[in-house]
Amino acid sequence: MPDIEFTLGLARADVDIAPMRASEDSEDATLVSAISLGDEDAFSRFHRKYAPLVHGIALAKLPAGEADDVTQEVFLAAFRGIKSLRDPDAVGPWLVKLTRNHVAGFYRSRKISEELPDEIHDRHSHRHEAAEILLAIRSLPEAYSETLVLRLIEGMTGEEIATRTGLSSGSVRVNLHRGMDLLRKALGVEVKK
Amino acid sequence: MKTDYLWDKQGSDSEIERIETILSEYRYVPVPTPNVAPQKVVSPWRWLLPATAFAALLLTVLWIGSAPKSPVAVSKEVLAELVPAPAVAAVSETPAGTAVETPASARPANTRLMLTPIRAKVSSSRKRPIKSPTVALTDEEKYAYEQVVRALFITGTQLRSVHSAIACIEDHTTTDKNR
Repeated sequence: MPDIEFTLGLARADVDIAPMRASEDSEDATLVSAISLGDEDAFSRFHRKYAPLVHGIALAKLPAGEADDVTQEVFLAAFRGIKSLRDPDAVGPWLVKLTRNHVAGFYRSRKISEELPDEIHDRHSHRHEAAEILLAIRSLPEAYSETLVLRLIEGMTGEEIATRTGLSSGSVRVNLHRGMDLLRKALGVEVKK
Repeated sequence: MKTDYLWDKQGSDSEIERIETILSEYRYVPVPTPNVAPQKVVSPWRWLLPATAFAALLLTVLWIGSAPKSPVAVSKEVLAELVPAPAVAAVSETPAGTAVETPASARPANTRLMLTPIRAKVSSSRKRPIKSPTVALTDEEKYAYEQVVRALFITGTQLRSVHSAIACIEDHTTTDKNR
Protein backbone atom coordinates (compact mmCIF):
# COMPACT_ATOMS: atom_id res chain seq x y z
CA MET A 1 0.00 0.00 0.00
CA PRO A 2 2.81 2.49 0.50
CA ASP A 3 3.26 2.64 -3.27
CA ILE A 4 -0.38 3.61 -3.76
CA GLU A 5 -0.16 6.29 -1.08
CA PHE A 6 2.96 7.63 -2.67
CA THR A 7 1.38 7.80 -6.12
CA LEU A 8 -1.72 9.52 -4.77
CA GLY A 9 0.45 11.95 -2.92
CA LEU A 10 2.27 12.84 -6.10
CA ALA A 11 -0.94 13.34 -8.01
CA ARG A 12 -2.34 15.61 -5.31
CA ALA A 13 0.83 17.66 -5.23
CA ASP A 14 0.83 18.11 -9.01
CA VAL A 15 -2.76 19.31 -8.94
CA ASP A 16 -2.02 21.68 -6.07
CA ILE A 17 0.89 23.41 -7.71
CA ALA A 18 -0.62 23.71 -11.19
CA PRO A 19 -2.33 27.11 -10.58
CA MET A 20 0.74 28.32 -8.71
CA ARG A 21 2.99 27.37 -11.60
CA ALA A 22 0.70 29.07 -14.13
CA SER A 23 0.65 32.36 -12.20
CA GLU A 24 4.44 32.19 -11.71
CA ASP A 25 4.91 31.61 -15.43
CA SER A 26 2.85 34.64 -16.39
CA GLU A 27 4.69 36.75 -13.81
CA ASP A 28 8.03 35.51 -15.13
CA ALA A 29 7.05 36.27 -18.71
CA THR A 30 6.15 39.83 -17.72
CA LEU A 31 9.42 40.25 -15.83
CA VAL A 32 11.50 38.83 -18.65
CA SER A 33 9.95 41.08 -21.27
CA ALA A 34 10.43 44.12 -19.02
CA ILE A 35 14.06 43.22 -18.31
CA SER A 36 14.68 42.73 -22.02
CA LEU A 37 13.65 46.35 -22.49
CA GLY A 38 16.13 47.43 -19.81
CA ASP A 39 13.67 47.88 -16.93
CA GLU A 40 15.88 48.00 -13.83
CA ASP A 41 12.96 47.78 -11.40
CA ALA A 42 11.82 44.57 -13.03
CA PHE A 43 15.35 43.25 -12.76
CA SER A 44 15.39 44.15 -9.07
CA ARG A 45 12.16 42.16 -8.52
CA PHE A 46 13.57 39.32 -10.57
CA HIS A 47 16.71 39.34 -8.43
CA ARG A 48 14.77 39.25 -5.17
CA LYS A 49 12.66 36.37 -6.40
CA TYR A 50 15.38 34.16 -7.82
CA ALA A 51 18.45 35.00 -5.71
CA PRO A 52 17.79 32.23 -3.15
CA LEU A 53 17.47 29.69 -5.95
CA VAL A 54 20.73 30.75 -7.61
CA HIS A 55 22.51 30.97 -4.26
CA GLY A 56 21.29 27.50 -3.28
CA ILE A 57 22.48 25.93 -6.54
CA ALA A 58 25.86 27.62 -6.13
CA LEU A 59 26.15 26.69 -2.46
CA ALA A 60 25.60 23.03 -3.29
CA LYS A 61 29.03 23.10 -4.93
CA LEU A 62 30.94 26.14 -3.71
CA PRO A 63 32.14 27.56 -0.38
CA ALA A 64 29.71 30.06 1.12
CA GLY A 65 31.72 33.19 0.28
CA GLU A 66 32.21 32.11 -3.30
CA ALA A 67 28.53 31.27 -3.66
CA ASP A 68 27.64 34.88 -2.85
CA ASP A 69 29.98 36.18 -5.55
CA VAL A 70 28.84 33.66 -8.12
CA THR A 71 25.23 34.59 -7.40
CA GLN A 72 25.90 38.20 -8.32
CA GLU A 73 27.85 37.18 -11.41
CA VAL A 74 25.02 34.92 -12.54
CA PHE A 75 22.52 37.77 -12.29
CA LEU A 76 24.74 40.09 -14.27
CA ALA A 77 25.09 37.42 -16.94
CA ALA A 78 21.35 36.84 -16.83
CA PHE A 79 20.65 40.51 -17.42
CA ARG A 80 22.93 40.53 -20.44
CA GLY A 81 21.66 37.27 -21.87
CA ILE A 82 17.97 37.36 -21.05
CA LYS A 83 17.12 38.56 -24.56
CA SER A 84 18.34 35.25 -25.91
CA LEU A 85 15.87 33.37 -23.72
CA ARG A 86 13.39 31.72 -26.10
CA ASP A 87 10.77 30.70 -23.55
CA PRO A 88 10.21 33.37 -20.87
CA ASP A 89 8.26 30.87 -18.78
CA ALA A 90 11.38 28.73 -18.47
CA VAL A 91 13.47 31.43 -16.86
CA GLY A 92 13.93 29.38 -13.65
CA PRO A 93 15.47 26.33 -15.36
CA TRP A 94 17.52 28.71 -17.50
CA LEU A 95 18.92 30.35 -14.36
CA VAL A 96 19.72 26.96 -12.84
CA LYS A 97 21.65 26.00 -15.95
CA LEU A 98 23.43 29.36 -16.00
CA THR A 99 24.44 28.92 -12.36
CA ARG A 100 25.78 25.42 -12.96
CA ASN A 101 27.85 26.77 -15.85
CA HIS A 102 29.27 29.52 -13.66
CA VAL A 103 30.12 27.04 -10.91
CA ALA A 104 31.90 24.82 -13.44
CA GLY A 105 33.75 27.86 -14.77
CA PHE A 106 34.73 28.82 -11.24
CA TYR A 107 36.32 25.42 -10.65
CA ARG A 108 38.01 25.46 -14.04
CA SER A 109 39.62 28.83 -13.41
CA ARG A 110 40.60 28.43 -9.77
CA LYS A 111 41.03 24.67 -9.36
CA ILE A 112 39.95 24.39 -5.73
CA SER A 113 41.16 21.11 -4.35
CA GLU A 114 40.19 21.57 -0.72
CA GLU A 115 37.66 23.40 1.36
CA LEU A 116 38.39 27.01 2.07
CA PRO A 117 39.22 28.12 5.64
CA ASP A 118 35.82 29.69 6.28
CA GLU A 119 34.38 26.23 6.69
CA ILE A 120 37.11 24.79 8.91
CA HIS A 121 36.26 25.43 12.56
CA ASP A 122 36.61 23.99 16.02
CA ARG A 123 35.29 20.44 16.01
CA HIS A 124 32.88 21.13 18.86
CA SER A 125 31.51 24.43 17.69
CA HIS A 126 28.11 25.02 16.14
CA ARG A 127 29.72 26.24 12.95
CA HIS A 128 31.74 23.08 12.67
CA GLU A 129 28.57 21.04 12.79
CA ALA A 130 27.01 23.20 10.10
CA ALA A 131 30.08 22.82 7.88
CA GLU A 132 30.03 19.09 8.41
CA ILE A 133 26.39 18.79 7.36
CA LEU A 134 26.98 21.00 4.35
CA LEU A 135 29.94 18.87 3.29
CA ALA A 136 27.79 15.79 3.64
CA ILE A 137 25.11 17.35 1.46
CA ARG A 138 27.68 18.31 -1.17
CA SER A 139 28.95 14.75 -1.28
CA LEU A 140 25.53 13.57 -2.50
CA PRO A 141 24.60 13.35 -6.20
CA GLU A 142 23.79 16.73 -7.75
CA ALA A 143 20.03 16.18 -7.98
CA TYR A 144 19.81 15.43 -4.26
CA SER A 145 22.32 17.98 -3.02
CA GLU A 146 20.75 20.89 -4.89
CA THR A 147 17.25 20.00 -3.81
CA LEU A 148 18.31 19.55 -0.16
CA VAL A 149 20.19 22.86 -0.09
CA LEU A 150 17.16 24.66 -1.52
CA ARG A 151 14.91 23.00 1.06
CA LEU A 152 17.08 22.93 4.20
CA ILE A 153 19.18 26.05 3.76
CA GLU A 154 17.18 28.41 1.55
CA GLY A 155 13.93 27.37 3.23
CA MET A 156 11.93 26.76 0.07
CA THR A 157 9.08 24.28 0.11
CA GLY A 158 8.92 21.36 -2.29
CA GLU A 159 6.31 23.22 -4.35
CA GLU A 160 8.50 26.28 -4.68
CA ILE A 161 11.50 24.19 -5.67
CA ALA A 162 9.46 22.42 -8.34
CA THR A 163 8.01 25.66 -9.71
CA ARG A 164 11.28 27.56 -9.91
CA THR A 165 13.56 24.81 -11.15
CA GLY A 166 11.05 23.53 -13.68
CA LEU A 167 11.19 20.01 -12.24
CA SER A 168 8.04 18.01 -11.68
CA SER A 169 6.77 17.92 -8.13
CA GLY A 170 7.21 14.15 -8.16
CA SER A 171 10.88 14.47 -8.99
CA VAL A 172 11.41 17.04 -6.27
CA ARG A 173 9.60 14.92 -3.72
CA VAL A 174 11.70 11.86 -4.61
CA ASN A 175 14.90 13.89 -4.56
CA LEU A 176 14.06 15.30 -1.14
CA HIS A 177 13.25 12.00 0.49
CA ARG A 178 16.03 9.95 -1.07
CA GLY A 179 18.48 12.75 -0.49
CA MET A 180 17.45 13.02 3.13
CA ASP A 181 17.96 9.29 3.62
CA LEU A 182 21.42 9.50 2.07
CA LEU A 183 22.25 12.50 4.23
CA ARG A 184 21.26 10.68 7.37
CA LYS A 185 23.52 7.80 6.39
CA ALA A 186 26.35 10.16 5.66
CA LEU A 187 25.94 11.80 9.04
CA GLY A 188 25.69 8.44 10.82
CA VAL A 189 22.08 8.96 11.84
CA GLU A 190 19.75 5.99 11.82
CA VAL A 191 17.24 6.19 9.00
CA LYS A 192 13.64 6.46 10.16
CA LYS A 193 11.30 3.65 9.18
CA MET B 1 -3.67 12.66 7.77
CA LYS B 2 0.06 12.12 7.62
CA THR B 3 2.02 15.35 7.25
CA ASP B 4 5.20 15.69 5.24
CA TYR B 5 7.32 18.38 6.81
CA LEU B 6 10.16 17.83 4.37
CA TRP B 7 7.84 18.58 1.44
CA ASP B 8 5.66 21.48 2.56
CA LYS B 9 6.77 22.38 6.11
CA GLN B 10 3.42 21.32 7.47
CA GLY B 11 3.49 19.69 10.91
CA SER B 12 6.82 19.16 12.58
CA ASP B 13 9.94 17.06 12.32
CA SER B 14 12.45 17.71 15.09
CA GLU B 15 15.38 16.21 13.23
CA ILE B 16 14.86 18.26 10.05
CA GLU B 17 14.09 21.40 12.05
CA ARG B 18 17.36 20.99 13.93
CA ILE B 19 19.31 20.61 10.67
CA GLU B 20 17.55 23.68 9.30
CA THR B 21 18.54 25.68 12.35
CA ILE B 22 22.17 24.60 12.12
CA LEU B 23 22.39 25.32 8.41
CA SER B 24 20.58 28.66 8.65
CA GLU B 25 23.89 30.51 8.78
CA TYR B 26 24.44 29.58 5.12
CA ARG B 27 21.09 30.96 4.03
CA TYR B 28 21.12 33.64 1.37
CA VAL B 29 21.29 37.12 2.85
CA PRO B 30 19.56 39.63 0.58
CA VAL B 31 22.02 42.00 -0.99
CA PRO B 32 21.44 44.97 -3.30
CA THR B 33 20.69 44.10 -6.89
CA PRO B 34 23.80 44.21 -9.06
CA ASN B 35 24.14 47.50 -10.87
CA VAL B 36 23.08 46.97 -14.43
CA ALA B 37 22.59 50.60 -15.42
CA PRO B 38 23.89 51.03 -18.94
CA GLN B 39 27.19 52.84 -18.94
CA LYS B 40 27.41 55.44 -21.61
CA VAL B 41 30.54 54.64 -23.57
CA VAL B 42 31.26 57.06 -26.36
CA SER B 43 32.58 55.10 -29.25
CA PRO B 44 35.26 56.80 -31.33
CA TRP B 45 33.42 55.61 -34.45
CA ARG B 46 30.38 57.57 -33.40
CA TRP B 47 31.82 60.74 -34.94
CA LEU B 48 33.04 59.08 -38.11
CA LEU B 49 29.91 59.60 -40.19
CA PRO B 50 29.32 63.28 -39.28
CA ALA B 51 33.03 64.03 -39.74
CA THR B 52 33.08 62.36 -43.15
CA ALA B 53 29.97 64.23 -44.23
CA PHE B 54 31.45 67.53 -43.07
CA ALA B 55 34.74 66.87 -44.86
CA ALA B 56 32.90 65.96 -48.05
CA LEU B 57 30.85 69.14 -47.84
CA LEU B 58 33.97 71.23 -47.24
CA LEU B 59 35.78 69.67 -50.20
CA THR B 60 32.76 70.25 -52.44
CA VAL B 61 32.61 73.91 -51.46
CA LEU B 62 36.36 74.33 -52.06
CA TRP B 63 36.15 72.58 -55.43
CA ILE B 64 33.28 74.75 -56.57
CA GLY B 65 35.11 77.85 -55.37
CA SER B 66 38.28 76.97 -57.25
CA ALA B 67 36.55 76.08 -60.53
CA PRO B 68 37.39 78.48 -63.44
CA LYS B 69 34.78 81.16 -63.84
CA SER B 70 33.60 82.57 -67.16
CA PRO B 71 34.30 86.29 -67.40
CA VAL B 72 30.69 87.15 -68.08
CA ALA B 73 27.55 85.20 -67.45
CA VAL B 74 25.70 85.21 -70.75
CA SER B 75 22.00 84.48 -70.85
CA LYS B 76 20.57 82.01 -73.39
CA GLU B 77 18.71 84.80 -75.11
CA VAL B 78 21.85 86.75 -75.75
CA LEU B 79 23.74 83.62 -76.77
CA ALA B 80 21.11 82.90 -79.41
CA GLU B 81 21.75 86.27 -80.88
CA LEU B 82 25.48 85.96 -80.65
CA VAL B 83 25.92 82.58 -82.27
CA PRO B 84 24.48 83.10 -85.76
CA ALA B 85 26.15 86.45 -86.22
CA PRO B 86 29.93 86.58 -86.58
CA ALA B 87 30.02 88.90 -83.64
CA VAL B 88 32.94 87.41 -81.84
CA ALA B 89 36.15 88.49 -83.40
CA ALA B 90 39.76 88.39 -82.61
CA VAL B 91 41.53 91.67 -82.46
CA SER B 92 45.16 92.06 -83.03
CA GLU B 93 47.11 95.17 -82.71
CA THR B 94 49.29 96.36 -85.51
CA PRO B 95 52.68 97.78 -84.77
CA ALA B 96 51.20 101.21 -85.28
CA GLY B 97 48.73 100.54 -82.49
CA THR B 98 45.54 100.36 -84.51
CA ALA B 99 43.20 97.48 -83.81
CA VAL B 100 42.41 95.14 -86.70
CA GLU B 101 39.43 92.85 -86.56
CA THR B 102 39.88 89.27 -87.58
CA PRO B 103 36.92 87.08 -88.55
CA ALA B 104 35.91 84.53 -85.92
CA SER B 105 36.50 81.68 -88.34
CA ALA B 106 40.11 82.71 -88.74
CA ARG B 107 40.71 83.13 -85.03
CA PRO B 108 43.25 80.74 -83.58
CA ALA B 109 41.96 78.21 -81.12
CA ASN B 110 43.90 79.54 -78.18
CA THR B 111 42.68 83.09 -78.58
CA ARG B 112 41.43 84.48 -75.30
CA LEU B 113 37.95 85.84 -75.53
CA MET B 114 37.11 88.99 -73.66
CA LEU B 115 33.41 89.50 -73.87
CA THR B 116 32.22 92.92 -73.01
CA PRO B 117 29.09 93.11 -70.86
CA ILE B 118 25.98 93.03 -72.95
CA ARG B 119 22.55 94.17 -71.87
CA ALA B 120 20.47 91.11 -71.39
CA LYS B 121 17.15 92.50 -72.43
CA VAL B 122 16.69 93.03 -76.12
CA SER B 123 13.38 94.37 -77.33
CA SER B 124 11.79 92.25 -80.04
CA SER B 125 10.53 95.23 -82.05
CA ARG B 126 13.77 97.16 -82.26
CA LYS B 127 17.00 95.31 -81.92
CA ARG B 128 19.91 97.43 -81.09
CA PRO B 129 23.20 96.53 -82.74
CA ILE B 130 25.26 94.39 -80.49
CA LYS B 131 28.65 95.70 -79.74
CA SER B 132 31.24 93.29 -81.12
CA PRO B 133 33.31 91.67 -78.46
CA THR B 134 37.01 92.21 -78.81
CA VAL B 135 39.88 89.82 -78.42
CA ALA B 136 43.16 91.20 -77.22
CA LEU B 137 46.31 89.27 -78.11
CA THR B 138 49.65 89.55 -76.48
CA ASP B 139 52.86 89.77 -78.52
CA GLU B 140 53.55 86.10 -78.05
CA GLU B 141 50.04 85.17 -79.07
CA LYS B 142 50.27 87.36 -82.14
CA TYR B 143 53.53 85.68 -83.15
CA ALA B 144 52.02 82.26 -82.61
CA TYR B 145 48.97 83.25 -84.62
CA GLU B 146 51.10 84.38 -87.55
CA GLN B 147 53.08 81.18 -87.47
CA VAL B 148 49.91 79.13 -87.52
CA VAL B 149 48.54 81.10 -90.46
CA ARG B 150 51.79 80.58 -92.39
CA ALA B 151 51.77 76.90 -91.63
CA LEU B 152 48.21 76.62 -92.83
CA PHE B 153 49.08 78.53 -95.99
CA ILE B 154 52.05 76.30 -96.77
CA THR B 155 50.03 73.21 -96.09
CA GLY B 156 47.28 74.46 -98.36
CA THR B 157 49.77 75.17 -101.17
CA GLN B 158 51.29 71.74 -100.88
CA LEU B 159 47.90 70.12 -100.87
CA ARG B 160 47.05 71.97 -104.09
CA SER B 161 50.26 70.79 -105.79
CA VAL B 162 49.62 67.22 -104.65
CA HIS B 163 46.08 67.44 -105.95
CA SER B 164 47.24 68.72 -109.35
CA ALA B 165 49.92 66.01 -109.56
CA ILE B 166 47.30 63.34 -108.92
CA ALA B 167 45.05 64.91 -111.56
CA CYS B 168 47.92 64.79 -114.10
CA ILE B 169 48.60 61.14 -113.35
CA GLU B 170 44.92 60.30 -113.78
CA ASP B 171 44.87 62.15 -117.13
CA HIS B 172 47.89 60.18 -118.38
CA THR B 173 46.30 56.93 -117.27
CA THR B 174 43.07 57.71 -119.13
CA THR B 175 44.96 58.63 -122.27
CA ASP B 176 46.94 55.39 -122.23
CA LYS B 177 43.80 53.36 -121.85
CA ASN B 178 42.18 55.12 -124.82
CA ARG B 179 45.13 54.25 -126.99
